[in-house]
Amino acid sequence: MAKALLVEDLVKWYGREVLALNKVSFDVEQGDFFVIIGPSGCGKSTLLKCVAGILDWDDGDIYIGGRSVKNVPAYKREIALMPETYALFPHMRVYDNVAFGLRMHGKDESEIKKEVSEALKLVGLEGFEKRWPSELSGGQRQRVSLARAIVVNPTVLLLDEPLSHVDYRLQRRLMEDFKRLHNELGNTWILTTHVQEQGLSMAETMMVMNTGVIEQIGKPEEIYTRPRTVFAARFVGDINLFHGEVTAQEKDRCTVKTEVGELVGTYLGESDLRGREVAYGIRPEKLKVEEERSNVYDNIVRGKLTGYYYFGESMEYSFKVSDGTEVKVRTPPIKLALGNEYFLCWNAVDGSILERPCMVEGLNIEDVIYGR
Amino acid sequence: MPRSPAELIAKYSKYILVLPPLIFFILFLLMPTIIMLLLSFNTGEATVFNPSQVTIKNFIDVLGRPMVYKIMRDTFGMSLLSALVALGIAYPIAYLLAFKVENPTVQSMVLFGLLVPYWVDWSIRSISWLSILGEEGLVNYILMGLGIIKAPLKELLFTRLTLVIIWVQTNLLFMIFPIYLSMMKIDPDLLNVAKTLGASPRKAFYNVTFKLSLPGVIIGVIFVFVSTLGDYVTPALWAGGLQMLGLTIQNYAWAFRWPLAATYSVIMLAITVVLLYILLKIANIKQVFYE
Repeated sequence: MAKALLVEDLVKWYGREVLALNKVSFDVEQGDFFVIIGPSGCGKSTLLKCVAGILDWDDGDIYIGGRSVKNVPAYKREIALMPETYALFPHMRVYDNVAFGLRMHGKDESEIKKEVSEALKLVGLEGFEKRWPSELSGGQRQRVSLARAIVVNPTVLLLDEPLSHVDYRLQRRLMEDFKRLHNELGNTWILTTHVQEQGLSMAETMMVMNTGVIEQIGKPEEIYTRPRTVFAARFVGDINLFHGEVTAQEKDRCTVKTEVGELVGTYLGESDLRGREVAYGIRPEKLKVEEERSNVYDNIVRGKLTGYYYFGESMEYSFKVSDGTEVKVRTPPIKLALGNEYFLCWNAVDGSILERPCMVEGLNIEDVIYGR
Repeated sequence: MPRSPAELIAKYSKYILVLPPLIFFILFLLMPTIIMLLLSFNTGEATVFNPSQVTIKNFIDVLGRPMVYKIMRDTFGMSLLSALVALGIAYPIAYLLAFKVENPTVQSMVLFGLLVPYWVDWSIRSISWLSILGEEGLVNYILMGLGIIKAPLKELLFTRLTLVIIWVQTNLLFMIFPIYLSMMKIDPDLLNVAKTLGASPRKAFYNVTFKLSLPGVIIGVIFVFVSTLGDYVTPALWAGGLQMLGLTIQNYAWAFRWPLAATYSVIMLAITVVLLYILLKIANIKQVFYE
C-alpha cells in the first residue's frame, strides 16, 4: 500500500534570508497518528501548509497517497485542514460549516444531512446544528472545526497546533477524543504541537523538528528513552547532561570520561565514537538516591542536596555534583536532608550517549528551546 | 433619602455625558424631521404647523400627478445606477488592495492617493468637468487622438451619462472603503480551509470572500445611494435639465410653499427608508453591525 504521505527533500525559503525547510524527507504510514513536535519557528507549520497546498515550496516533492501533488491545487488533494485558529465560517451556522466540504464535493443534500449529523455526533455536538460560531465556546468551536475536517473523509487529516488555545484540563480531554476518533475513523492524522506531553501521549509516530530540519523520527518511547541528539532529548522531557570524551565502545555500551568520573551508557548508532566529544544524558526519573555506596549500579555520582520542588505525585530534588553542575532527580517523595551528600546511581541501560547537540551545525540550542 | 448634589452627579454622570450629543441629535435631526412631517399635513404657504388644518390633500395632489412618478423613477433610478456602477468599479479595487497588495506601505499609499481629489474645493472640481468631458476636453481629445472617434462626443456633457460619471467619481471612495474594510476582516485561514475542503478558487471566492464582504457592499451602496439622492446641485448643473425630486423640493421651498416641499420630502424619505430596510435585510443587519 502506498504511503499516506511521502515528503522528499522538501526545501522552502521565505524570501532570500529564511530557510524554513532544509531538505526535509520523511514518510507517514496509512492510518498513523503522526505528531510533528518542535519549538515555534522550527518549520512544522510551514511543512503542514506545504502538504495542505496553501504554500508553494522551492524544491523537492510531496506525495499524498502515492500521487505527487506538486501541480495539484489544494482543493484536489484529498486532505482536510484544521487550522490553529479553527477558522469557522462566521457567516454560516454549525450545520453549514460542517456541510461545506461535502457541498463543495457535490454531494446531494440528503446524504449531506446524514453525514453532517454523524460527524457532529462523533465530536459530541448533536443538537448544535442551528448555532452560529459566535455562540460557541472555544472548545465547541474546535470540535466543529474537527467535524468539518473529518466529514470529508480525507486521506490525510492535518491539524495545526489544535490544542494551543484551550486550557490544560480541556487539552487532556481533547487529546483522549482525538485518539478515540482516530481509532474509529482509521485514516491518517498529522498533528503539530510544541508541547511535549501532547506529542508523547498522542503520537504513534513522532517527529522532532528544529529550525527546518528533522532531529529524530520514531515511536514516542523510542525518542524519549533513546534520543539521538541533545535537542531531541531536551525537547521531549527533562534530562541531566554531562560532557566528555568516549574512551571505550563495545557493542552498544560506551564509556565516557567526564569531570564527574567515568560514566557508562548506551549507544545504538553506527558510528565509531572512540575519542569523540559527546554528551551523556540521563533522565531525572531514572536516578536512584542512596545513602551508602552500592555495587549494584553501573554509574555512581556523589551530589549534595541543594533544593527540591513538590509536584504532588512526585518530588524533584536538585543535587550539586563535583564539577558544579546541577543534577535533577525525580522520584516519589523520600526523606532527604538539605545540604547532605548522597550517592546518585543508575544503570548503563538508562544512560544515553548523545552524539551531537543537534542536527543543525553551529546552532545554539538554548536560543531555540527558550526562544530568542 | 436626601442626597447631596455631588452624589446625584456621581450617580447620573454617565447619562450626563450622553446629554450633549443627545441634545444635538434631538435639536438638529429629530425636531426638523418631525416639523417637516407635521408640515406636510398643512397646505398653502404655512410655515408653522397648524393643528386645526390637518389634511392629506397634499399627498393626494402629489401622488395624483403623473409627472411625479417620472421624477421618482429618474431620481431613484439615477442614484441606484450610480451606486451600482460605483460598486462595479470599487469592488475589484478593494479586492486588489485587500488581498493582492501585500506591502502595507503600498496599501496606505493607494488609499491616501484615493483621498487626494477630495482636497480640491467642490466648486473647482465641478467646473473642471468642463475641461475633462467638454467637446474640447480631455476625454474627447484622447479618444480622437487614438482614432476611436472622428468627431467629438457631445453626449458627455449635460446628459444622464454626465450625472452618472460625476456621481461615481465623487462617491467612489465611500464605496471602496467599506468593502475594503470588510475584506480586511476576513481571516486568510477561512480561504485556506475552504480550499482544502474542496472549494475551487471560484467557489472559495463566492462562498467566503464575496459573502463575507457583502456587509461592506451593502454599506457602500447605501452610502452612495443616499448621498446622491440628496444631491440636487449636481443634477441641476450637469444633467441637462433632468428633473429630480431634490430639485422639485428645492423649488417649492424657495417659493415658500413649505407644506408641499415637506410632502415631497416625506414621500422621498419613506421610499428611502423602505429601500434601506430591504438592503439591510439582504445583508443581515446583525452581520453589518457586529461581526
